[in-house]
Amino acid sequence: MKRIYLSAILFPAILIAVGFYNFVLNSDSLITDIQENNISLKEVASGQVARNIEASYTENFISRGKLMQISSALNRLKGKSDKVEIVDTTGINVAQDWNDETQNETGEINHTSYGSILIIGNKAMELNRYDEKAIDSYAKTLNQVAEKLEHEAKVYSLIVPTPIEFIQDKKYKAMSYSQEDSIRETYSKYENVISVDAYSTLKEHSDEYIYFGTDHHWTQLGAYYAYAEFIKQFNVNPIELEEFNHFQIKDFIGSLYRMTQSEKLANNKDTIDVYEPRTPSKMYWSINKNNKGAKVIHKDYATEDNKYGVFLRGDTPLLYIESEANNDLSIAVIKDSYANAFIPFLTNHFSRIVVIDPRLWNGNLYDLVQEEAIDSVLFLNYALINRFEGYSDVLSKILIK
Amino acid sequence: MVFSSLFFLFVFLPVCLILYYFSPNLKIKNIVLVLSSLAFYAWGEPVWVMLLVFSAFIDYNHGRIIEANRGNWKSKAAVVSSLVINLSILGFFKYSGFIVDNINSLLGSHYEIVQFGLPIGISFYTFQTISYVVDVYRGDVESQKKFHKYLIYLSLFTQLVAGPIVRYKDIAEEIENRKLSRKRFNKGVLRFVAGLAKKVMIANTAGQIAGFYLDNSFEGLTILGAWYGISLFSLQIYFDFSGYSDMAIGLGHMLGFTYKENFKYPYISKSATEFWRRWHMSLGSFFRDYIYIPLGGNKRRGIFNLFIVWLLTGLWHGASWNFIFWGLYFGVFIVIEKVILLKLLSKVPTFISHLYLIVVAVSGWVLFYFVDMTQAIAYFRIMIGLSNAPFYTTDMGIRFMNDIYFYIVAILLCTPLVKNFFIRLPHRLFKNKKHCVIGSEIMQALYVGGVIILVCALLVGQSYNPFLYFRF
Repeated sequence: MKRIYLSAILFPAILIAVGFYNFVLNSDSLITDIQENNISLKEVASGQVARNIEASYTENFISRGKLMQISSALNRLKGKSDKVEIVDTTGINVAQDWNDETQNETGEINHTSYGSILIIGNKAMELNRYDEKAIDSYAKTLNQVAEKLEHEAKVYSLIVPTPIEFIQDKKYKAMSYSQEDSIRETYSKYENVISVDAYSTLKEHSDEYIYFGTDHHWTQLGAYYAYAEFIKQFNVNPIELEEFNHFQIKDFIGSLYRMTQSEKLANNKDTIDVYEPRTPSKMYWSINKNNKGAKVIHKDYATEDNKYGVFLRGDTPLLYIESEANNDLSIAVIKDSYANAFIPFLTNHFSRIVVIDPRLWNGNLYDLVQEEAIDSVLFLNYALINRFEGYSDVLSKILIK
Repeated sequence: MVFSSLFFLFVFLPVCLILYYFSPNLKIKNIVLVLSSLAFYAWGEPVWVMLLVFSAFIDYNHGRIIEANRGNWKSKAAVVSSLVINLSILGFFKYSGFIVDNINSLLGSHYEIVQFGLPIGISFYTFQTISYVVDVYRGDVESQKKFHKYLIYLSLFTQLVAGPIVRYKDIAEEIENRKLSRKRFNKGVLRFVAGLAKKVMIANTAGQIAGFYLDNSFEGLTILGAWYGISLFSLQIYFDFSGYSDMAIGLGHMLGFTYKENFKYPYISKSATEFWRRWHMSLGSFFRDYIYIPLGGNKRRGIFNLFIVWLLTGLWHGASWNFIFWGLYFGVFIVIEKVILLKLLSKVPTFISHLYLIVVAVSGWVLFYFVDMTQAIAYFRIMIGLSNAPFYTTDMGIRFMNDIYFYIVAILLCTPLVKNFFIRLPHRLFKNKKHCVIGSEIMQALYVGGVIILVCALLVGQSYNPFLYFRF
C-alpha cells in the first residue's frame, strides 16, 4: 500500500493555520506592543528589538491560558508529588516589588539564590536556612541604630516565625533551620535593642488559623497575637479580639501559589479575616500629607492580584498615619510586608505612626526620627528575611548619613 | 532566533516553507534560501551579519583562486591567506579577551581591549568555511562558481548557528540540484519534531531542575545531590545540543539537504574514545581530518598529536581555562585508553565499561559547567565525599521523588530503546501490512500534533529556554 505521508501534510498545515490565526487575532496587540517601546537604532543593532518582538509574540499567543494549564498538567507528571513536594524558585523574596540583590558585590563567586517552598497536603510554606552572616549583620545594624538614637527613641525588634516552624512532622520540620534558634541567636546579639518574643505566643496558638496556606504571610489573627505581646511593652492592655469590627475576604490565592502554580493550592483557597481598628485614623503616603487621609484598612484595597493589599493598601515606601488615639505616643515601624496586617492594631494606641519599607524607601532614618520627634522605633520582619544576606544591605542604606 | 521559539515555529518557518515550495524553479528557491537565511541571522545579530557575508565572500574568492592556480604557489598562498583571515577573525572575537586577561595576570600589566559580544555561530561557520578552502586545495571538491550558492552553503539557517559543522563536499551536489519529495519532507518533519521535543521538553526541564544544585551556594548540597545535579546537566546538554542537531537535520530534509549525523547515543558508549565518536561527531571529524591527520596522525608523535587535538577541542568550546582543562581531561582518558585501558575494558563485563564511561563523562561536565575552577573543585570535593556534606537529606529525597518519572524517561531516551520500541510498535500491533502502514501513519501524525501542542504549552509558560551551544 502506498503511504500518504500524513505528517508531511499535517505539520505545515498546523504551522500555517496557527500562524495565520495568531496573525489575524493578535497582530494589533503585537503592533501596539512594538509601538509602545520607542525604538532606537542602538536597540535595533543589538537585536533587542527582535527579542522584544519575540517576547511579545509569546505573550499574546492564542489560547495562552489553556496552554498554561496544559503546561502545569505536564509538570505534575514529572514525578510523585501528591503528598509532599518542594518547589525551588530563583529569587528569595516573594514580595512583589522587590528585586532582590542577593548576589554580593565583593567579587566573590556569585550564586543564584534559590528559595524553597514546601507543600505538605494543601499548605505551602517557605523553608528556612541558616546564614550566620545575615543574622550577624542584621543584629549589628539594629545595635547601631539603637546606639545612635540612644537619646531620641527606644528601639524594638520583633521577628516573626513562619508556619514551617509549627508543623507536626519532625522529619519535614528538620528540613528547615529552626527559627526558634535563629531568632534566639539574633536576639542574643542585641545590646540596646529591646526584643519582643512573638515566637512563644504564636506557638501557643499554632493550631489556629494564623498563617495562610497559599501565601507566605501570617493572617491578621497571627498578627493580633504578636500585637498583644508587643503592646505590653508600653504597659497597655491589648484590645480584645471580639471588640474589633470583623469582615472576611474569600478566595484568596497568594504569593506561594504564584511561585509554585500548584494545583493543590489553587483548590484550597484562603480566607482573609480582617479586623478593623476601633480608633479612627488617617493614612498618608508622605510626611507632608499630600493626599486626602485614607483608611488603613479598606476592602477596596484588596485587588484581584493582591488581596493581602487590604492592609495598608500593600507595600509602599513610606506611610504616615495619624490616629485619634489622644496621646503623644509615636512610633516608626521599619518593616517588610508582614507588618501590614500588624500596623492597623497600633493605630489604637499611637497617635502618630511612620511606616517605612526599606526595600522601597530612599531616605534617612535618623533624620526622620529627629524631625518627627519619634519616640519608638520598631523593626518588624519575618524570620526568613535572614536566610540570605541582602536585607541588611537594604537596611543600612536608610541609615547612612 | 532559536528553533524552539514560537516566533520561529509559527512565523518564520511557515513563511519560509511557503516561499520555498511555491518558487517555480531552483534559481528562485536558492534566492529564497539566501534571503531567508540572512534574515534569520540578522534577526538576532543585525550587525555581524556583515561579518558572515564578508567571510563567505573572502573564501568564495579563495576557492576560485586556488582552483585557477592549481599546482603553483598562488594556491598555497590562498590557503594560508584564508587560514590567517579566518583564524584572526575568530581569534579576535572569541579569544582576544582571554589572551589579554592571561597576559595581564602573568605580567601584572593592565592592557585593555575592546570587547565585542561573540557573533552567533561564528565558531561553526568559521570551521565550515575553513574546511571548504582546504578541501578545494586538496582537490577533494571543485570550487563553487556562484557566490550566492556558496552563501547557501555557509549561511543556510538550518545549521548556521549551532551546527552540525557541515562539509561543503557533503552538500555540493544538493546545492546544484536537490530532490524534494513528500517522503523526504515527512522524514524531515519527524526528525525536526523529535529535536524540538528533546530541546523543549527534556533539556529545558533538566536545566531548570539542575540549576538548584549547580547555581545555588554549595552549602546545602549533599553528595547524592551533587551527582544528581551534574547528571541533570549531562542530560540537559545532550538533549539540548543533539536536539538542535536533529532540528537542523530535519529542516535540511525539508529543504532538500542531507546532513551527516552529529550524535549517536553518546551515553551508551563503553569508553571515552567511543563517546567522542558518538558526541558532536562533526567537530571530532573536523579535528581528525584537518588537524590530527595532517600532523601525522598516529604514525608520527601520535600522543602529542592527540593532545594538540584535545587542547583545541577544549578551546573551541570557549575562551576559558575550564574548557581547556575539559578538553585535556578527555585527552588524558583517551590516551590512557589507547595505551592500555581499551584492552582491559573489552575484557570486563559491559556494565562496568558503561559505568566507567558514565562516571568519566558526567564528571567531565563539572569542568565544563563551572567557568570558575575553584567552584569546579569545590563541587568535585562534594561529589567524592571530601567535604563535610551529608550523603543524603530528607529534602533531597523529596526533590528527587518530585521529578523521578521525568528523570527515568530522560535517561531511557539516552538509549535507542524508546525509538526502537515505537518503530516496531505498528508491526506488533497490526499483522496485516495495509493496517500496519495506516497505523504507523496515524501514530506519527498523533506524535507530531501532540509534540507541537505540548511544546507550545511549555514555551508559552517557560521563561527558561537557552541554547547552550549558542555561546560557541
